[in-house]
Amino acid sequence: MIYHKDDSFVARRLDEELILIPVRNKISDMNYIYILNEVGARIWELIDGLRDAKDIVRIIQEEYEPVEDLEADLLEFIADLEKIGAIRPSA
Amino acid sequence: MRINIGGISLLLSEKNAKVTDPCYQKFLSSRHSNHCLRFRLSSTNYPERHYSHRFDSPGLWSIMFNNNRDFCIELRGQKGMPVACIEVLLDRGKGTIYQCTGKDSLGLPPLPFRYPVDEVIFMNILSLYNGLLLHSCGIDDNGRGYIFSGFSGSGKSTLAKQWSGESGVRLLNDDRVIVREIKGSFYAFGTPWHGEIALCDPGKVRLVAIFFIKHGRDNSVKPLSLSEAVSGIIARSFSPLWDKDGMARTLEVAERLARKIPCYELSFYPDRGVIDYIRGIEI
Repeated sequence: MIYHKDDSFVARRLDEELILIPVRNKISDMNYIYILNEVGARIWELIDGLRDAKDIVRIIQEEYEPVEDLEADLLEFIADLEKIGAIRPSA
Repeated sequence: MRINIGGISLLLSEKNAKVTDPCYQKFLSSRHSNHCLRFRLSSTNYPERHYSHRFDSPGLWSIMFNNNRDFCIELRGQKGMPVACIEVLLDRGKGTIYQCTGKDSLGLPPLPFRYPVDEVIFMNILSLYNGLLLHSCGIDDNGRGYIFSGFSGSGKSTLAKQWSGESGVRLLNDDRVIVREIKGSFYAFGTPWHGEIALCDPGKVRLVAIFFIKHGRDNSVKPLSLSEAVSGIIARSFSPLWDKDGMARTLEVAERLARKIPCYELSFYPDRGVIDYIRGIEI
């Protein structure tokens, strides 16, 4: 699955981490600020509307120390980003 | 009539306008500011210009805006009926007030110098002036600026009361404080939008530390990481969360603020001891 970033989020890199804030149209929608850790921030950078999620997982596996169940964790993280509306499947 | 908040002026060209609220009176100014929005009162109805986006604050106000910097605040009265529209053409530095109901309510400050309209205007424009509006109590302790920031019920007014009466201490505001970066330094400014304590000061002080407060059994502080500080500032700020560009600028200001000014989580016990505790922290 290929994803692109949703326009309704503001992102800013804070050293290794990244802060994500949704832009909304009602006060009740505004209660969330997301902080992504170093790996999450790298995944965010790699989501560009061109790379497949499995390619992103492969790049992370190459760049970071091997961890058990990493692929499943990364795919779950990408699914979480989709769930909060920060990314969307590209057509 | 000119009101100056956080070094930014709102000017109303209306001879008969009066400000009776003692807090707002302190912010009246005859001094020219480089940052000024000029307002005029229109006798015509709001022309209903087209705005592509809208943000609703239930019961109080809505803001409509385009992708440029123009915006319009619709103020609602009882039963949700619009009572006024305040249109701001930011790049031209001017605005127009369209009253939807004939006479204005007696005893209220004139628009745009009236909560929440003035506050919403500032929420929209502060990031353009390297600033943000924090839900916080601001204290000038003999030239050292402290901000105690927290959600409702966290103890802002309680702390303000503890500081009051201390020698050389000035309360800027117990609920809303503007923070701006000017020539590389951050300052805390008082605002007229007070909480429980109806004391406001239009002055400013150089900022030394920011504390995110909560009640505790004793006094303790924990230094915050950059991301904790930035997310804490944003969560406790009144930011233009409907405006992507404005929010991106506000995040930039918050990051510079958190990198420059130490931010702590403060648990405090509400007695005089917290004053000595704060003064004893090596910042």
